[in-house]
Amino acid sequence: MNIRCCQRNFSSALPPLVPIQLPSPRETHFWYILPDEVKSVALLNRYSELLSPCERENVNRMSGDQLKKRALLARALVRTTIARYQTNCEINPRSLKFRKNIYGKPEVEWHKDDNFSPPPLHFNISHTSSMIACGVTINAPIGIDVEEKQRKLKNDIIAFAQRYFSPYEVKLLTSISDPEVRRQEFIKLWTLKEAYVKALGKGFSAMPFKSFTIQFRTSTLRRFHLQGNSVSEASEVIVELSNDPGNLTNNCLFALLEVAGSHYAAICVENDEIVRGEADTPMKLTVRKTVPFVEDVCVSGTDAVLPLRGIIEQ
Amino acid sequence: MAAVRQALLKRLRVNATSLSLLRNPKPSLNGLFALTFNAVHRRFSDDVMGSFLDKSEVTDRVVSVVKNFQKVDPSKVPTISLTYQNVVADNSVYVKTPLMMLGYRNLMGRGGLQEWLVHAFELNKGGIDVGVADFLGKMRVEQQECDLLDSIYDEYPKESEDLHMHLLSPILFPVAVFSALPELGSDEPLVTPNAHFQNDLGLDSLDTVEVVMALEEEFGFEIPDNEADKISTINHAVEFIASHPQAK
Repeated sequence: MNIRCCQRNFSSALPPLVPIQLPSPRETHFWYILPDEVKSVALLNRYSELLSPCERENVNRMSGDQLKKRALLARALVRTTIARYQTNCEINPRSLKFRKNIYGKPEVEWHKDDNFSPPPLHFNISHTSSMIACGVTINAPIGIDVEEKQRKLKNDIIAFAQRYFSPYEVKLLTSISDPEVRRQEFIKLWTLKEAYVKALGKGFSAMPFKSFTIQFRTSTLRRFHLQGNSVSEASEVIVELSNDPGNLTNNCLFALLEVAGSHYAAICVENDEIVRGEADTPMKLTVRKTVPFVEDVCVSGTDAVLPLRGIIEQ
Repeated sequence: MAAVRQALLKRLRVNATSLSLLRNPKPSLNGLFALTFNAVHRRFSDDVMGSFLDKSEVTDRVVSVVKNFQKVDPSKVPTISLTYQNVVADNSVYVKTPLMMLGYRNLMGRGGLQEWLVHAFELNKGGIDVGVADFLGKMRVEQQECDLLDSIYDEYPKESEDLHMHLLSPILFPVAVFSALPELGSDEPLVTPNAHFQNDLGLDSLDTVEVVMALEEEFGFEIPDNEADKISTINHAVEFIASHPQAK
């Protein structure tokens, strides 16, 4: 591939991004990139060209190459992912503008144009040193969190949970005697709680972790078999607010997955359409592994995606 | 401490009065430079009120908590090449250190001189050449630079004995820099008071909460969630803790 470095028009400097259909309502797209697989300096430079000057400055502000690369890939993933969802015209990832809502949650600032009606896209990103992920929905706020499966806590898990989690969750963790299983369940709870707070988009001050409980409920599943789609039998994830106990409403869809054998990923999608009491609504999920401009692979339904909690339809 | 001061004075190549002026400020003695009274305070204000902890003590403790948290693998420490600085101890000449040539502004942006000095010291104990350079445009020695020298003497008494200090002209304000050159851009996280948890130390949200919890244990009081949310640098933590009467 002959990339002409001086070429400013991105569309002739790189193969185009593979366009993707917008997710339907109640459908979630989950994209992830593994930084260790992106080694080409030329490719990283191309990604850098997609960023706004401000973003590039933020990347450079990071200390050390690893942090810089991670920050760069995160921005590149967001820009290229959103640019794929072309509605009535091609979107240049470089031209996307972003802003933060009043609580600091990032969102797309669409250009107002007579010819262009912006898609009601919501997105959220999360990263660890070994995975960067971006979740996308239509019409519904989304929060995601990824953590390495092997991640160890420096503090004692129960002490940490007593400080930051709800009593119910502390009890759940305490009841697990195997330290390794306990550690895994802790990470799973953490990611789900993070995803929930990020979906709400009001920051952690508005919804401290102690103020809500993540619970798992095995539900009577109505199984959906739609043309080969499979619905996991994992338990439903629900949230109980501490100031409204006993009211196990669920205006959020949750999914907890093991991704690429190495990470736990939690996804939370707010959904006002879910009627209270109506249970067993699956989250339609499509998971794609990507190296933007190089390769996109849909990994839904493969070993790379292992549903753990939540009612997920892949 | 006294030994270091002795060693320092022995190696002075400039008029001894310039050093004493540094330590005992007199306003505009020779018109060439002006020292603010604050410049020679060894510590922040000694009239600490009530039970508030001294900020520099808090800083040390916070940095130490975060460093323990980081638990940097000693085998990952980069090697530093030492260079000797050619200094002309002529009152009218000053020498740019390699530090400056590498881009002083970058270092200041990253938490700067202090970060670099502590880093150099920790990774190369002993045998470090300390050169002194000017920073153009500065008319006063900053308080924190004096404090820094003092704190370095305090923290590394043994290494300080090996310091070779070259002080330059009294016209140019002496600030100590190490002529040891750590590899700029190395991945070694530098835990300094200016360090940003996310951008400098690479901590994620779970790490940050863990650090807050460790700080709560260290200082013996609870940091509420909405305050913890705002703590994104070591300095934030220090500010909050130092202004909290419950901190022990």
